Amino acid sequence: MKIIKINAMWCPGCLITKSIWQEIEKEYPHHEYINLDYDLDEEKIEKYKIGDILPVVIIENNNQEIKRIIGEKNKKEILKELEDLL
Amino acid sequence: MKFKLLKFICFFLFFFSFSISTKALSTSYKDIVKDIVNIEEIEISTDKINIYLFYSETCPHCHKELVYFETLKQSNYQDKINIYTFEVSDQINNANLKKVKELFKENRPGVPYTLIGEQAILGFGDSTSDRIQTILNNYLKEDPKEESIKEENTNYKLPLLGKIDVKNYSIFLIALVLGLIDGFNPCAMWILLLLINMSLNTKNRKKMFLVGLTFILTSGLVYFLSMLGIGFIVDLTTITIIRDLIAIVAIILGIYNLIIYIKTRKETGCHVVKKEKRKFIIEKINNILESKSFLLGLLGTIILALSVNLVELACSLGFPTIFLEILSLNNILGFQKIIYLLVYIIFYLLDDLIIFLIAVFTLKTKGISTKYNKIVNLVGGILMIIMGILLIFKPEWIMLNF
Repeated sequence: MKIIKINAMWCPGCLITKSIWQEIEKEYPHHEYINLDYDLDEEKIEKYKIGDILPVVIIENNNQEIKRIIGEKNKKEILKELEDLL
Repeated sequence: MKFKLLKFICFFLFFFSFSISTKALSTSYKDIVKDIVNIEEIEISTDKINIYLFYSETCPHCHKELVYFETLKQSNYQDKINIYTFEVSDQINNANLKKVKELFKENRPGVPYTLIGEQAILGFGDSTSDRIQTILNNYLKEDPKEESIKEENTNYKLPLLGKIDVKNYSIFLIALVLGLIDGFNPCAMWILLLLINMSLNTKNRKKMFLVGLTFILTSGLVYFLSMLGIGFIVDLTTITIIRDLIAIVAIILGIYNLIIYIKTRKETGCHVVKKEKRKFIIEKINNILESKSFLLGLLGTIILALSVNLVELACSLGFPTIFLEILSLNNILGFQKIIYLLVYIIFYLLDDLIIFLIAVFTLKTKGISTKYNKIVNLVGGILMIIMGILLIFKPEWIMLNF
């Protein structure tokens, strides 16, 4: 599974979520994690057509989007959203 | 809740008395205001002191002083004083006020302005009646204690702490709370976060520290100077309509904050800042961080902080304006006002400073959860509406007199 995390340097909610994902990555290391910056990786994120709320986490399986998590979430909320996937 | 607590404290405020004189005038008494106000019926006598009061119908402190003068007229001073009052919405009186202020080299705006002999008092606060009594007693040759006049006092003696002025502590507390809430305003926070994160990439802690600190201090300075400017206008306008206008704007901003809260309370995360704005700021920060000259880098930081804070100023004018109106209503002027503004600014910058210092020492950026922004919208909105309503209907509560 590929987990694409889209954050921005100016977004406090992204900073909060980023540290939570660092923990999740350690707990579930067998997935592919990709970090994209909203400003620096503009071209790469264009195709995902994200709205105007950050952070956005896109989960892909065989290059097919299967889940999208939008906004700042705590660890419990993230794990709940991913319970069937991870 | 806070007002209830203050009300409770105020019930226990002490009263004090002051002394009066019934003797003839001192030779040091000289009426230097009479020629300016130029009123025929002004009485010049050898045993009476003329007190001149410039006031505004719409200024709560002026009303307080007028009430005090009524009490003074009933006291044993009654045969020793003439009180002349001038309402400053009258053009001639306003022009005379300016002349009198020039004579006394008074640069600060505002009323009430009291003149006794060669003494002038701007404002009417806790100690003004004491000061008036001292001036009167000095102009009268002897000062036997004959009668006491009750007067409100906010000094309160507490065990361990000693004598404290409840009013000053309350304003300090208001500066702290409003400054903190205002500091959570996300308008300029995103730029600081961007600056910190981009500086982190340079791995140069010294550069990061200097650039970040310069940005925060310049932002504080811009805010402080803007507040001084707004304060000058607030003090200058003793007209109720301006106060009502500020109150209405506060209520509108409060309602706007509540609407934002209701609309976004279930949303979490950050709203994307406009692309052009982001690109512009990122480019400027890049220029600063890549600058080979240390001084040019700092200068760039100062210019960036000046420009973004001036642009973002309109985004967070509500709380500073309300706070300045509170200072104005409580007759806090000059040096004291600057101290309170600095207290406000320190607490306004506190969250920025904490985030910045954590980043410098740990080389990691910590964000404040956007969930707190929602709480700030809710609390800030409610506070603004309450303040606005009080400004219109109960300004004396904002003066911390219940």
